Amino acid sequence: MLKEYFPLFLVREYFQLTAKAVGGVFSRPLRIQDTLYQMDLIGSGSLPLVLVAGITTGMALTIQGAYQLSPIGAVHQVSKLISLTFVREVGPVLAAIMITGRVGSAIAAELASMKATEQIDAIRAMGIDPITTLVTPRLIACVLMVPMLTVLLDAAAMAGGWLISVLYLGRDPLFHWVLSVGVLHWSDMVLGLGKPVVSGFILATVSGYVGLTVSGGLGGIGRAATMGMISASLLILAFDVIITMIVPLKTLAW
Amino acid sequence: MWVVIEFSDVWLKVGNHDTLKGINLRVWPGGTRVILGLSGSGKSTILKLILGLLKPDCGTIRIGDRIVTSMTEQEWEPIRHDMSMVFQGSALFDSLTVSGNVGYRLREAGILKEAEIEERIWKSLCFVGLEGTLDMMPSDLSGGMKKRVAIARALAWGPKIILYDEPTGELDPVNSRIVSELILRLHKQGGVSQVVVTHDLDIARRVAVRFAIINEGRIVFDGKEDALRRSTDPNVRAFMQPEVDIAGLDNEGQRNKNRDIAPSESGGQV
Repeated sequence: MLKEYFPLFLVREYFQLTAKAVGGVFSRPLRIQDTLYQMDLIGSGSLPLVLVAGITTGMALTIQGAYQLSPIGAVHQVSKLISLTFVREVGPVLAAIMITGRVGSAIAAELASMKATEQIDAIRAMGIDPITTLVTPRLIACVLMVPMLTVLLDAAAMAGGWLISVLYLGRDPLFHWVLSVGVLHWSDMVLGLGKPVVSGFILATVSGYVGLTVSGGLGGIGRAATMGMISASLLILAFDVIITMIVPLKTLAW
Repeated sequence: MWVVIEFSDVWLKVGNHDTLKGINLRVWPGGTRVILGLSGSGKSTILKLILGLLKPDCGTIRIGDRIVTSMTEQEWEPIRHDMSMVFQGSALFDSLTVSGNVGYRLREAGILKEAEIEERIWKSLCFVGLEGTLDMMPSDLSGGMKKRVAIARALAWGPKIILYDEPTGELDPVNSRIVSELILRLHKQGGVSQVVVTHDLDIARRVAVRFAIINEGRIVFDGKEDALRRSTDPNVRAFMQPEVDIAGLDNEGQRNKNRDIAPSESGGQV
């Protein structure tokens, strides 16, 4: 009863789970096969979604950007605008939210279903830790795959922007590309890859926690899917703001 | 006499409800202990306490020579090493084949070589008569087959104690008979202590001669079948010959019927 009404208890539980899941990365047995399977599920499964989201958003933002910049005669700046916006901000957030919608809810629902059908109890009864067995491979897979998918989304968005710039705005193909890539600083890459690492970590641990702790038997599975996705998405958005507020100050100083 | 499992005055509250009220129970080496009870009487909770999946509010639980009542999760690991459990819904891992399920614990332990693990899987599946299901997925199995695979999974580890939660629940009479024969065969082979939790008196009679009956969190009977038949304890009689208030149901049914009929009799007006 106390647990349900005392958020600090839940936070403590979440950190305990996270610590165990991280600890599982450095302990034996190494779950390479499980991790590769999860990477395939998360990576290959999300790839079409991420590519379509990237190319369409990149095209739309290029058109919008060109409209906004044309009154001041700065349409050529749209190349820089698109690459910087996607690499630093839109790419990491869009990829994380799309992957969370697909993968976060799936992880939470799968673990909740295992709990409802006593599979988690069966693992514990065998003297095996369900967190290191089930959450750790998903954690490694998310931390590796979310940045990779983010890079692909950024590339798709820049390709979409290039298409609009060349075919719709009639700009020189090479000139657009040189501006797009040339404006990027290595610190942008660090930020653009750092955020997805944090997002992947949040996605796996939050949806894992929700899946393993949800109650209510089979009825809890749907609730876990929704709660896992929403909680992870909100935390990812919150951390995105925090990282954006902290990191640019340092990167600019470099 | 040395006991494998001993409960001494164990109490457990779940929410605001006293699930177990002063349970005293002993399991002897090589014995099969049957705990009978109606749904919600607290019998499955006893198994979860034996496995350390729940902790009692007060009382003492001894497994082998160790008091396990207030052990941490890490301290429980060597205790669970000697135990296996067959869950009510079988609890097979959906993503693994039958072979993967049966050998899961052995592979996780990383003690045996793959050839030895495969041999154990084969022997366990032969014992339950399902050697032809090695590469099948749990979703391809019937309820009875799932239960038998769950028994094979429990056996493959080579435990000293096997716990069964409603092993024949949701099974047809034929599969129920097969599962109870497997439990009996294990008992006759010796070397393993078994705790069977069930509401089915027939399976209880088949696998053991001594039963405990639990009612509303209390052990109300602990003895042999003769004593069970002679018992005048109202709690025991209630389990043996449950009297359902049919009259009350009939009255309720009649009231509902009248309520349903009323609109049509009054020309559809409520």
